[in-house]
Amino acid sequence: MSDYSRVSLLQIAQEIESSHIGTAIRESMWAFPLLILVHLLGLTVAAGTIVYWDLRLLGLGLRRSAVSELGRQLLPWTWGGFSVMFISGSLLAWCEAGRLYSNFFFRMKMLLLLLAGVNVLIFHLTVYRSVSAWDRAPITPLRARIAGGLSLALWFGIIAAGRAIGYSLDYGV
Amino acid sequence: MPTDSPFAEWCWNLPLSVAIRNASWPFPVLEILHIAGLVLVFGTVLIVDLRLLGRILRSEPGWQVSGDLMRWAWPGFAVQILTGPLLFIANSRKFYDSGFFRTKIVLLALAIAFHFVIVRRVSASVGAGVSPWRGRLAGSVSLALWAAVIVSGLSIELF
Repeated sequence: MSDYSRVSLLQIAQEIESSHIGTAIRESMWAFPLLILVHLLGLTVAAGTIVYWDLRLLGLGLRRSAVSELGRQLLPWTWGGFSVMFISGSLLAWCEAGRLYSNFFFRMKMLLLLLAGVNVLIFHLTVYRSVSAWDRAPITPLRARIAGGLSLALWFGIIAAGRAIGYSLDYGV
Repeated sequence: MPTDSPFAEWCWNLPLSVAIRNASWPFPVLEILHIAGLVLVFGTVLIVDLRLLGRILRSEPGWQVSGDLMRWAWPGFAVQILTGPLLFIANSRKFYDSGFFRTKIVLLALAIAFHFVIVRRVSASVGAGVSPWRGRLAGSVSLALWAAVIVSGLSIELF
C-alpha cells in the first residue's frame, strides 16, 4: 500500500499551514490582524441581523413586523456578513490549520456552527412552511420560539469559542 | 510600563483591576461579553439606519422600527457600559496612551450624540414608503460613525 492511504486530516492541515498563502499571512505584520478585523466586522452585521430575527421568532422584538417580510429584508444582510466572515475566517484558519486541527475551541466552534446550520434547516423544513398562518402573530408557535432560542444560544457559543481560540493559540490578540 | 498619567496608574492599581489581571479567565470573559453587547447595539443601529436609508422594511414607519429595536439596544448598551470600563482599568497603562482608544471614545461620544439628537428625530418623521433625503443622510452618517467606533475599538488590541 502506498502512503497515500494513510494521509490523515492532521497531515493535510499541516500541509495547508505550511503552504505559500498560509506562510505569507502568518508572516505579514498587517494581514493577520486585518483579517481578524474584517472577520469581526462581518460578525457584527451577520450576528446583528440574526439576533433580531431570533428575537422576532421568540416573540420578544419587532412584534409588529410580519415574520416572512422581516426574514426577506434581513436575510441578504445576514448572508453578506456571513460571506465576509466565511472568507476571512477560512484565510485565518489556512495559516494556522495545523495547530487549529487539534484545538479544542476550534473544534467546538465548528461543531456549534454546524448545529446552527442544522437548526436553520430544521426550522425551514418544518414550522416555517406554515408561516402564512402565524406571520403577523405577536406570539409565534412553540417550535419557532425554540428555533430562535437555540440560534441565540448557539451564536453566543460561537462568539465565545472564537474568542477563546485566540487566547489558546496565544496570538497576542 | 507605568505611564505618566496619575489617573491611568490609579486605575491600574485598583484592587478590581489587579483581580482581573491576576486570573486568566476574567479578561477573555469580559471581552466575549463586550462583543455580545456590541452585536445587540450594532444590530439595532444597523436595522434603524438601513430603514432610514430606505433599504429595508420600507412598508413600516421609521418610528415603529426604531421604537421596537431600542428596547433591545438598552440592555446591550448596559453590558457595554459595564464591561468596557472593566476592560479599561485592567489595561489602563496600555489603553490610556493608545491613539485608537482615544479615537474610539471621541467617536463613541459623537455617535451617541448623533443618535439622540438627529437619528431619533428623523426616524420619528420617516413614515411608510421611501425615506426623504434627510433620512438617507442621517442613516449614512450614523452607520459611518458606528462602523468607525467598532474599527477603532477593535484596533486597540489588534494593532
